[in-house]
Amino acid sequence: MNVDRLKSSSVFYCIAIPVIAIIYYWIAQMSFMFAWRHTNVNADCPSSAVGFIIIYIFGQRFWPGIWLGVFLVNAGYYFSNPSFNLFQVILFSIPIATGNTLEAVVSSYLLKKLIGNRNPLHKAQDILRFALMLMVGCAIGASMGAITVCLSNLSYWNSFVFIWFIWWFGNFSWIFTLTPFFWAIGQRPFSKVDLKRILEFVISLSVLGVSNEMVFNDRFIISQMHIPITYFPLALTVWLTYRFGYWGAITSILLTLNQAFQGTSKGAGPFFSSGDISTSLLLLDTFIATVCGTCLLLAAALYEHRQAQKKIFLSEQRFRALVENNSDIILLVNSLGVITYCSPSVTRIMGYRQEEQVGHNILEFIHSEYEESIKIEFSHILSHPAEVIKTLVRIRHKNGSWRWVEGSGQNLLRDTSIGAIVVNYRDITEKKQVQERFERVFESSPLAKIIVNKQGKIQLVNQTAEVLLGYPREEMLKMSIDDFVPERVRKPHPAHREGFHKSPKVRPMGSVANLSVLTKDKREIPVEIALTPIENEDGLLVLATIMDITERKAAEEVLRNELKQATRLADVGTLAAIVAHELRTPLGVIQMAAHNLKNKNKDLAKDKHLENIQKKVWEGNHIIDNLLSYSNIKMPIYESCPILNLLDECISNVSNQFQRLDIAVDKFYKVPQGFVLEIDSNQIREVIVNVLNNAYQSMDIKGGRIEVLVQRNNDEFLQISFKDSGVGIGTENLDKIFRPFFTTKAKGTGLGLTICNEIINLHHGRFDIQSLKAQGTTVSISLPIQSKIFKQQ
Amino acid sequence: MLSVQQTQSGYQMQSKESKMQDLPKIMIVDDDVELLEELKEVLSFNNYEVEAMFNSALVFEVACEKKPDLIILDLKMKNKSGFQLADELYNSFKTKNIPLIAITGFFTEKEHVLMMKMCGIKNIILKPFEPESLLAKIASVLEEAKRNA
Repeated sequence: MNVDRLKSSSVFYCIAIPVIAIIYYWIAQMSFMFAWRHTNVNADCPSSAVGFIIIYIFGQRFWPGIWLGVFLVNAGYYFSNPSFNLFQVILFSIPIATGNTLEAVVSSYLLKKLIGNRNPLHKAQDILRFALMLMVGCAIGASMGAITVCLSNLSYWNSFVFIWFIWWFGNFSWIFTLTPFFWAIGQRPFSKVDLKRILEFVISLSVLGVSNEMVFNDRFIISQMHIPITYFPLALTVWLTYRFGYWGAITSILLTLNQAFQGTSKGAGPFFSSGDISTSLLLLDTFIATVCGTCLLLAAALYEHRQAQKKIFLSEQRFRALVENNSDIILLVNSLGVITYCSPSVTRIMGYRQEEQVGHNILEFIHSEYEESIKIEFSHILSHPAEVIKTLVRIRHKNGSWRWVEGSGQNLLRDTSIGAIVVNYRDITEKKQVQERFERVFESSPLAKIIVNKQGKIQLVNQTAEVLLGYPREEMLKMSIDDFVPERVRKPHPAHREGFHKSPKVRPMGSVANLSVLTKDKREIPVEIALTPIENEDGLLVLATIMDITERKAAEEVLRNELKQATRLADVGTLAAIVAHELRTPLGVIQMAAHNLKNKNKDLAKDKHLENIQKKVWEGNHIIDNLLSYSNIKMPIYESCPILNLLDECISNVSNQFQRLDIAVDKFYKVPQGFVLEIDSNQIREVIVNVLNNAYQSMDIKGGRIEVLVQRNNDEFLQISFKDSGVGIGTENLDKIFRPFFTTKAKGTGLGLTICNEIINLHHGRFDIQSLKAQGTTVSISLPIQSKIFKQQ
Repeated sequence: MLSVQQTQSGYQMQSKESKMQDLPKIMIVDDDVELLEELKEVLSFNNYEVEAMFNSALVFEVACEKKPDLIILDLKMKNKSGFQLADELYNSFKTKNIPLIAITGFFTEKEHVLMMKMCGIKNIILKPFEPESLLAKIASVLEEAKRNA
């Protein structure tokens, strides 16, 4: 069971009431037993203090205990007087009990109303309030008591004022003197066990005790020497209060009170006035109450002062910790730029000790590049008090490196508490490095990047974006992202943007098809766009990464065409194969028929015709062969091929066949020996052999020559030309040579050049023929140096 | 001279010279009547007994009956393809040892390998062929068959 529940339980209450009554009664009886038995008014003064304490500390609900106690004490007192009967005893005791109870209840109620639950010893004003409230409360008790006393004929009405005053002041001074002791209980007299202080306390108290004995009990020799030492205990009490706070005050007062009362009631001391003990005690009460009030006020003031000091100390410590552990460095600089204070964080951040900075001019640490601008800013600070100037400079670290710092300065020279220019700065080198790295990556990205704010306004663009969209950077920074959306889809774009802002998440490339951007020259470029939300202090920004897919689209187009061509070739091939096969069977039969006829023919004149049939069948077969090989042209299978080696191989093969013609081949190779092309070497070999064959066949006389020239046409093409000294081709035939089945030769299908042209076309090259009748022919084959197919890959 | 006889088993063409018993007997199979006619003429002229078959579906039966020394067949025919026929002949013990020459207009490497593996076709003549080259092929195949037998 905890204390609060115990206090509020009714069983405890029922026990507490009589216990309080007994305690009250017992203390009052003790008071009677003391020396001041002579007086009737002061009798229950100490116990009235107990009443106040109980009500104040435990609560007003215990008033019946007090009431009962007072009633018993007074009833006993009246009862001991034989002039009162029982009825009178009860009659007179009731108002006194009520008055004393009201006194405690009213003053504790008023005090609590004023100061709440705080300890009244902690504030000088509270001590004063306590005294005032007591005066009010005690007036009730004194009034009722004095009236009762006068009514009961214990005293005369003409002494009412005197009785009232004694009653009032007695109760007041006792409560005022004793109560602080109970408030002090629970508060430790010493913050820690300190032998020296305890010793000091004991010695001081002892000195006080001795001096009290001298003053109030006329003890020791010195009191008989008539030296006025009456106020000596006062000084000691004040000293004890000063040294030990309210504990010092309370203990010394209680000690003095005890000794003074004993002495005075025995007729000793300065307050003893001959004859009337009541007057003597009243004088003493006045003295004690005054001392007590003074000391309590002093103690409270000291307490307040110490609390305030402690608070200042703590806040200073907190402030110091803040300054020392701050990642900012704080400097105080005088009007000449000399550092007068430097926060300790400088050691951690810049490597300097504090004393290495203090006394130096700030310019000593700043990079010379910024010296001029700092001087200008410094003079601005000097001429504009209280204005905060921000700046970005490089400062030398103790280790010699230059650190980027971001700083601010404020002129507080006129502020008396500071009297300096306050400079704050922080190391932002790493932040700046990160930022620079980001900027480099951003700027040099091969993809166009644009950062846009919530309103669609462009915040940052990179160079690729400038190139892609055709606007200079400054112009773009004034534009909205909507300006780059093609007009036909511009209208809903702001809504799309807002939708993205509502639920920002990364949108990867290619998640939306068929996007395009509008450039300055009103072109639409097909693009893919990735969106990335970026959170920063200005709110949500969006990074749009734009990839130009024009080339990819073109490449796709090329591939589509290739595919188409391949399909066409395959179709032609299939058709040709079917036609060839189907034609071969009847041709075979015709051949056999002719053969049979010839065997049976006896007429030699008819033989010639049969031979013609056989010859034409053979030619027809040859045509079919060529057709099949044309239809057999496949898509090139690219591989790296040293083109000059291939050329040499072909030349030697073909020239062997035409050895008898004695033709010179002159080679002019203007590319390095190992020059490599990406080609289908089998197909190109076929082309070269075909061209060479044609060249050889065009020589109608011995001793002709063929020039083979290999050179780079430009960066894109390698040109291989074959120039012969043959018969040439007439202009009338030149434009027909690539047509299938065109030929001028006796033997030939007319498909050779068609096939060659087709192969070179498939290689994305060019096949040209220049020729003049009787002046020879030049065939040029241009092949791409870098295969288009490879480029795409 | 050639005469085309309507028999129960279809058209059969015979020549007068084929009655000579000691001549090598060659069966030719093709659905092209003109080719059949001309080829038969070529072979007969060169002293072979020729059994010309127009309907490939009947070849197997006739071959079992007549036991030719050599069969020349077209690979592409209407009723039963040359491959099927060759397969049939190769897998019957009666006709297993008869050598085959296939005539084809167009074939691929793949087809060739298939023929070799499945049908026992070891000899190919490409259309169109010179009569002389066919005769030379026939002579060599028969020579080899005689050696093996």
